[in-house]
Amino acid sequence: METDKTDRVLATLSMLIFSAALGMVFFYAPQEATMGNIQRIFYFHLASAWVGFFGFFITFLASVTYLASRKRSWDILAHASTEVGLIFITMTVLSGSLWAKPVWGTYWTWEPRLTISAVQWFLYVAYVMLRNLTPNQEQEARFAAVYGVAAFATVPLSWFAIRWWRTIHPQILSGGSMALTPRMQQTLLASLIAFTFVYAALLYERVKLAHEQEKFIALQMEETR
Amino acid sequence: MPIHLILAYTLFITLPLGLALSIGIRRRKMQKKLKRWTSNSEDGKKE
Repeated sequence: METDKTDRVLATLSMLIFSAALGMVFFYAPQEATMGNIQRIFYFHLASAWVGFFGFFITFLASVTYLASRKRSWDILAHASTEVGLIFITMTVLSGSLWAKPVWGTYWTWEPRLTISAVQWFLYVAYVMLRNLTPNQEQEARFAAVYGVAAFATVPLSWFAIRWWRTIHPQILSGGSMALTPRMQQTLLASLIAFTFVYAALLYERVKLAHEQEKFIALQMEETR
Repeated sequence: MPIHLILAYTLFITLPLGLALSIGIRRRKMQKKLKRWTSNSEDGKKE
């Protein structure tokens, strides 16, 4: 496979920072007093949620820009960012569920934050699936852009769910302060940076794949003319 | 170490790696197709 310098730099950096963050989670962050070791899920759980939300925000921005400019590259970015963001939201939902079993005594409960997360996951899965169904490329891009803008409503809704409604989901950030020790904060920060790099590396690769697919379709069209 | 913690971190490692692998395989296939297509069309032009 043809790779360029940015490919290699992003992949190497994300692997290094990811390994460092993983080391910090298990060997640097202190054990939480009430939950014990299971609390360590929180660092990567929150980081993947942040990157998932960020990915959907990029989809939202790219979709708005596509609707305004009708430039194909914005549609490609929106599609790629959704696919990558969805992987992170899947990790968030699954890891949250794994954390909930020993702490809440159940893998799943229909409380506001979890319900919105489930709806959000299904909406973006539908986005990825629907993209392959519409035969007309222009029509597909326009529909996907409107969908990408509308589906983004679930991101602020999910963020405010634990503030607006009665919920059992923990609230780490309250009133601008963090209920974490300095070592826990540093581990969380390292996890956030690691996941952001992993997102950037995956997005870069996915966008390149889409451009290669575009090039191939253009060549085929040229040949059939 | 709790089993749920191990399972969660297995997910955190395998899912992004899986996506990276899937994109890598799709890119390799696409590049092969592109190469084949361009060499075929160049041969056609020569003939």
